Amino acid sequence: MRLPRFEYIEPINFEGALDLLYIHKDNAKVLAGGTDLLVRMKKGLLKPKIIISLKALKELSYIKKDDSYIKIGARTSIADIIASDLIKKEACALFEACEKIGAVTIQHYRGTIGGNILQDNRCIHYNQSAFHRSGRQPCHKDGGKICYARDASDRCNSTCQSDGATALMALGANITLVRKGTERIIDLDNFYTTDGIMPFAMESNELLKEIVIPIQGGKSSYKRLAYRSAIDYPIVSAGVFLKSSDTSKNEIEDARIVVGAIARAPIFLAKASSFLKGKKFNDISAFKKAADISMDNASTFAVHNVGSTLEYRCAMVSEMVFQALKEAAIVTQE
Amino acid sequence: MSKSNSDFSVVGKRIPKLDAAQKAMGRAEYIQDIKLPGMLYGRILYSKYAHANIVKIDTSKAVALSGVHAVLTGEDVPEKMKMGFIKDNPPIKKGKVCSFRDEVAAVAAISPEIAKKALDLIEIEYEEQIGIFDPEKAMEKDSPLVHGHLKSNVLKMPWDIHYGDVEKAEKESAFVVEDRFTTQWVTHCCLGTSGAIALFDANDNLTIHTNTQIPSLAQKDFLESLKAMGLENKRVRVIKPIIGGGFGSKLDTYAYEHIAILLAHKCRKPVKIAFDRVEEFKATSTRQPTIIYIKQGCDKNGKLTFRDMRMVLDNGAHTSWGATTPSVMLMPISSLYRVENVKYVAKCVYTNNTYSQAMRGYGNPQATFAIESSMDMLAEKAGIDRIEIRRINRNQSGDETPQGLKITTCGLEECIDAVEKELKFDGKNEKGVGTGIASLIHVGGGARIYGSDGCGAILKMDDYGKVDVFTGGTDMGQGLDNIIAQIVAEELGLLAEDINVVHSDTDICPWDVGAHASRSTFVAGNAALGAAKKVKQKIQKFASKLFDVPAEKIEFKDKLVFVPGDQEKSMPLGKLLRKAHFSPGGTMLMAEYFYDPDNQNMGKELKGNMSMTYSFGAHGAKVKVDEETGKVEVLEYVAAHDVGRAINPLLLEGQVYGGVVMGLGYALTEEVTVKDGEIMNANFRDYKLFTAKDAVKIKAPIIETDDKDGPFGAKGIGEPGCVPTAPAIANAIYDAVGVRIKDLPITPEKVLVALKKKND
Repeated sequence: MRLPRFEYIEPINFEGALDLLYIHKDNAKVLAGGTDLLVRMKKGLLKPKIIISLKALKELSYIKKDDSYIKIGARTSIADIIASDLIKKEACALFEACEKIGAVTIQHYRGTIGGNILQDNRCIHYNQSAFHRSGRQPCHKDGGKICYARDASDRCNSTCQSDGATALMALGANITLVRKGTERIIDLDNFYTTDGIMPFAMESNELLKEIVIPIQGGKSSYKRLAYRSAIDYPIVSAGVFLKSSDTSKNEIEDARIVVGAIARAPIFLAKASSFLKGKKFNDISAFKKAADISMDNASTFAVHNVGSTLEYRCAMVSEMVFQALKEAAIVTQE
Repeated sequence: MSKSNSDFSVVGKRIPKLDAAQKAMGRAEYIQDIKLPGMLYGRILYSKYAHANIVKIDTSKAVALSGVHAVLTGEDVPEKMKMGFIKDNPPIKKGKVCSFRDEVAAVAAISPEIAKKALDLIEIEYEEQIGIFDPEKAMEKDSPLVHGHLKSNVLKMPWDIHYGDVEKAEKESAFVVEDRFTTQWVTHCCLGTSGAIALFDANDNLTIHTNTQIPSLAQKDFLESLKAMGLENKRVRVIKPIIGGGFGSKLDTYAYEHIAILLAHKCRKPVKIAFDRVEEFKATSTRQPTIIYIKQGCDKNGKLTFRDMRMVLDNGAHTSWGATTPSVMLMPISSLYRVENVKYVAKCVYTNNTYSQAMRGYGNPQATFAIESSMDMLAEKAGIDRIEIRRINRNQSGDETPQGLKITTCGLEECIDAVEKELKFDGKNEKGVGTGIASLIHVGGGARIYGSDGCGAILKMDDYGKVDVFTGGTDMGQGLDNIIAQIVAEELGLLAEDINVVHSDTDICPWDVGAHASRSTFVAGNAALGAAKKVKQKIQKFASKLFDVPAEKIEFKDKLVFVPGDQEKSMPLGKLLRKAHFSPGGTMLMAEYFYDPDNQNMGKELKGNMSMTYSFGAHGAKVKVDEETGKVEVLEYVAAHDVGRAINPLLLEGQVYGGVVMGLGYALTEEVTVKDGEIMNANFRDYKLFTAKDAVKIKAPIIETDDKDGPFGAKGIGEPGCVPTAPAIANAIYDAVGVRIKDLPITPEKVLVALKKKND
């Protein structure tokens, strides 16, 4: 499989990249590590005329503490995040998520955090070779009106399998999107659209600049289930965040439960999260209950499209949430 | 008395692969690297349906595209040009397609891009037919037919065997177990993808560069194609580039090779067809998926009384040589453990799925999965320890099995001991942890699948004490070149690096039936050894005149030819060779040898000693089952093998490690997922081949039984590593959590469903 033809441009600074995006808009795609983009291009899922490479934009590669925030440049490599003590301490879920991305080689030489959270949704029926797809009517995501994942579905049922997205959403992260002359901040809950065709609330002339994680003094954890130990997407994942109250260390004041790889976007489970408020950190049965609520609520949005059975993946939502909660609680208690 | 490893100077040594640096530095030339002057690029168009009539093909736009030299459809393929075991597979299909993999057109163009563009311009009108994808349904009387001209989807094949009296033995059994098992499609995943370059000279003689494990038989297939094309009495030269893995995938010739030949002939230019990974997944073959019914019993002491097995194999739409795998399945079915009464029926069934083919173990992993799972079930029912039941029934040296296999040397007991020594089998593991064991028998001294099981070797001494060995054998990465070098070096008192092994070209190398059935070390090794012995005698004869001593007094060691105890009578081999060449009336030192083992073709009775000797082994696994997710983690793995002798323990361990990891994938994660005949995971992300991170630490005890017929006592070890892996894992899972998974691969969801069922 070969890449389709394209023009490759490597701007030397951030402004230059914004200028190019301003000019080329939909005709251009941004290349960071390429581990998602190039694979899709090889399959003919994307045929951008222009590739804007962020290779030279070293300024987008940083992890820093700024007041009560961790700021991560979009082009920061996965390996740098794994190596960061700050992230391990204040945003453990992200550390755990990054550890699972791709394989060591991909983490070191290619994969970036920006690329990870902006990876396109997947579906076993959509992510196929051009020839495979040519033998049938195009699906929603391919520009058609059919869904092969769910019969008679009028919308795309692809899945967001980004590890980083689920962890960051649990951490309550925001991202900064920039376009020529203006920038905006959006939280991840609103950034992921639940539209399988266009999973992000992002314009084609916008560039992801930064990820901002609030330091709230809580503990987080990320768990995922995959068939293999490397080069595998999760079939279910869960990111959780737990914060104790200022008055009583053993009481949960705030909780965020997010599940990923099960639906069109990572899902923040409000009901399960609020259920935990006021519960004790050693209340295992409360965690079990929250995990079951998570499963019930997430199952509504679950889509059958990444292998395995839907029943199994839904059942595992509960297990992943439970494991993540237990881990976050133990760390908090320590 | 048998020799010990200390008696050898080269054999038994851990000599790294002689081509390791070439490969590690990217210097080795694979088919992808080869470019010939004027070469065109061929590409194949495949069917868009699992089963359809081709109503119309319009190639005019493709023909008109600039840079396109030829466009072929089924109409351009000579009627008699067909591939496979029963010649039911034309390289391009005409009128009808029976699987997604069916070739419907091919082009040759000046670049791969233009070739692809040309394919896109070919317009085909199909009329879809009902497809049949379940072999058991395909066997039903009113099933639609895959091939309309046949009366049934069931292939006419001979496997309906009864040794002894199974009915009587069953009645007399104290304990009987019965069950159904299934195995899935898996594929070879060779790192080097397939490809071929065909070219004709001005006299219509063909040269084809191709990845093959069967150069001599491929030559025959290609000659038949030439004949079908009206090119009689032509020569075919098969040149093998460096091959990046075979595992059985290259035991047939493929459509792409025959299409390259047709295109090259039409264009009068070299034509290369090279697969990308998707094509490799979709257009090369898989291991046979099977449905296995097994019943076996034992007496009150645990001695096996009978074994009754029925197999249904999904043949796919066409028939490769792999359709003969039931013959090899017969080996473990009739002969793994002592069992006198055996019944066996196997059916290969046409479906509209991809056609399956030979793959490492050739049916043995499927059969052994059922047998060894069932052995544990029987042990439990009889209340006998699972190691004990295997000891009671173990094969032993001197046995002749119902099938007529003559067990010369058998280290099965030692293998079981070695596994037991490494792993705990007392059932006292922590919660969720368990151990499992499974044994194997495999051909280890060739296998007479064809009329001949022979291999030739030609050995030529140079002027400096180095040797060129031209072998019929094939190195496809497994390391045969090393093995031959070590065997010849040992015999001639040289170092392995003094031996240059040439195996690449049918114009140069002698005949061989192919690198299959774990036969290369044994058969190609014996051929090389025979040639080395012959040349040694010639050198001795020449030296005897020079030293004036009887020839038999002359020995070879450390690159010297000498008479022990007489320091005057010693000469470097190189100097001696120069004397032979440069003396008046000189002589050239060269020898040839053809080794065809004294084994038997099973014939119509399906009885006979198919191999000169048999390899045995026992695998033990310790696993941890996560009862919440169903995920299985392999904690420890022991793979003990009776190998006769390890010519090179380093390479042998590599073969075992590779086999085990392949077997673990088979057991736990690998599956070609197929939806109505279409492969859905044609890439390494969705096809869950084990990664380096998934691989487990493997202990590989080597049991040496010094087989009298093997070169320096060696037996074959190419395939055994992946044979008993799946049942060892399945048995360990049962030991850990009490659920028996009978369908491969053992995915977390299957384990969880079984756990739920057990706990309800």
